[in-house]
Amino acid sequence: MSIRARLLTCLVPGFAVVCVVVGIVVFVTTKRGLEADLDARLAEITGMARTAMRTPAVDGRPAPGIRGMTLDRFVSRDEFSTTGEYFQLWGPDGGTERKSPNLGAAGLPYPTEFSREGAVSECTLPNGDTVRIRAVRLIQTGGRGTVDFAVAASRKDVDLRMSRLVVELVVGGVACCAALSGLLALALKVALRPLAKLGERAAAMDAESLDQRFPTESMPAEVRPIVARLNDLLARLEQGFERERRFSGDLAHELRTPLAAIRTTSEVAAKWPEQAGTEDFREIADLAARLQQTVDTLLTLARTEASAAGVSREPVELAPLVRECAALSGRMAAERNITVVESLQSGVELESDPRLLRIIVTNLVSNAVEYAPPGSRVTLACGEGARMLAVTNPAPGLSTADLTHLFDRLWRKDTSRSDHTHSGLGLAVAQSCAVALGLELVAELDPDGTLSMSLLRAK
Amino acid sequence: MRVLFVEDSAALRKPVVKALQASGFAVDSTGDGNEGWRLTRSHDYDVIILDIMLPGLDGLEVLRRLREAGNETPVLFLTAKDAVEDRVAGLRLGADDYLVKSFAVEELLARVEALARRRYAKRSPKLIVADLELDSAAKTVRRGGTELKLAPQLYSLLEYLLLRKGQVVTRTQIEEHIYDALVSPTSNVVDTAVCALRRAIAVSDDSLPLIHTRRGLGYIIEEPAE
Repeated sequence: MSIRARLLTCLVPGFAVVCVVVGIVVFVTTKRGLEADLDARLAEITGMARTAMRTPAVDGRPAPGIRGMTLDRFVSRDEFSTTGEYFQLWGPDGGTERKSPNLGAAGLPYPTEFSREGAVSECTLPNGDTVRIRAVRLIQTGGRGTVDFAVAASRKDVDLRMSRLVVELVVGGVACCAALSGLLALALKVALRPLAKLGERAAAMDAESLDQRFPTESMPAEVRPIVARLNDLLARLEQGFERERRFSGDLAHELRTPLAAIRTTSEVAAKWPEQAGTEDFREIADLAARLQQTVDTLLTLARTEASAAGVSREPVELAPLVRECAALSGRMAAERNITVVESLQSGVELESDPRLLRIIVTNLVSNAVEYAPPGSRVTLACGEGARMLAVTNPAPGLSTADLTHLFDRLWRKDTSRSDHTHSGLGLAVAQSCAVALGLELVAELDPDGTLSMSLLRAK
Repeated sequence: MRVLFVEDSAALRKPVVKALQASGFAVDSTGDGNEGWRLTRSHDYDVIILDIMLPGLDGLEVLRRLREAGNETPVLFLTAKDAVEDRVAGLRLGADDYLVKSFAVEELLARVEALARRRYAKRSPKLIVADLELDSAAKTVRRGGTELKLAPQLYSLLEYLLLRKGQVVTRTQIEEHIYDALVSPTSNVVDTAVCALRRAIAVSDDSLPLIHTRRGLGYIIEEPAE
């Protein structure tokens, strides 16, 4: 599911819920406000009714006749002639004493509950008007008992305004939700545009365009670390591809050049037999042997890379093994006037595969002896520490940049690959064996140009 | 025809040089890019065969320098690299042909001959003057239907003269194109060779002379005047 879809599915219902809650709050508040207004109006009419029902005193005595007149005047108010506001007065016997003319013959239903302050209830009149009633029980002075009266006000305006408000809230809420969703979709589109562009660029990339990098500046801050990691990955991929490309080119050269020489030598000998000699056969045999050696080493490499599981473990004493392997390069060391200095601590034993260890040590020693300048010194050291074996030799032609390629298959410092005695597979084989044994083979170059190849124990 | 062959593998260089020489080419060869570049400056080759991975200068760099210096000699790349980008890089720099190792020696010879002909703007392998016909593909020479057996050097001389039919060819040019660096031609080696060639192509007393001397200039092969 896309980020856009996720955000939309979370936020749009969220907006809807917020809109509904806001609508309900507005509805309830407005309803309460309108009903409070209605109650205030009822209280006002009630006040007027109380005033009208007060028995006035004439010369310090109550004058009930005058009360009747004020009540009549009160009932004949304009508000009581049209629908909207109502009044009814019941005598102590429960009979209707007065009522507003707009009630007609029916009158207000006799409230079930009265109070001094006024009990509020609602009902529908026979004329269809829904009203809010305030029923008041008045205790008359002078032991004249109680009278009940009720004032009522129509809810028509309130209900009308409330139903209009509901429509407005629903329409407004839906419109608001739609507008917010649209705005959200637009904002997401704008905000996610860099991601979309990133996707397009990534889709357009292939093995040929690995030198390109994703721009980080134009990316949102949240995505920038991911883009930086992607760029790192691309850089590593590019290096990997470059390494493979170089390997296949070097392999082509390693295999095709001797093959071409074999083929041409034999074709020329067949075409111009008078010019052919035994020397041609000897050359073909030499070339075939060299090809065989390259192919065998490549196969060893492929096998050690593929079958780390086939490693045996047995106690191996390091010093005799190193000495034995160094002896294999003795002839070459003598030819090149190389002094091999051994600093081998005896009694160092480890659980390992002697076959693979021999391959590693032989390759490291022969590499050092072959590439050290004539007349120089190669040092072999082994001990108890983490650095179980170190082979050092002067390497004046090597740069620190070369160290990253040293273990590449078929890599040679001489890019023309003219020296046909080396294939450039020895160190790759040694490292592959070290990995199979769970050891680490590292190359370090001192500032004075001394190369150290160290075999480190697993941490 | 004089060919320069730059290839660092001595094992491959030797049989290819042998094959080129046996086909009548004068061949200079070296295993070093710098030396190859130096040779192109001092000799006028008809075809240059270059390996790409070379010590000193690599083949691509030698070609780039050649073309920058205005040297239009046809160049054939002979290399183990067969990736499309390697071929494209070579051809973009102005290489004329590309052959991947390993190859059939016949194919190499055919390509070198085609490139040599292209240098003299000839498409057909048959070079004809009057009743004399040289087929550079079959390596045969016929006069009036009779096949002639020519020594490789005489064949090369005749081919070179025929490629420049109607033009005066100087002794120095002949020396440059027919003899490789190992032969140090003495002053009259060209005259002797031309004399021998004249004798070789005169099959009968009726045969008209085709090679003429332009005193003080050199030689020319052309249709006999009616």
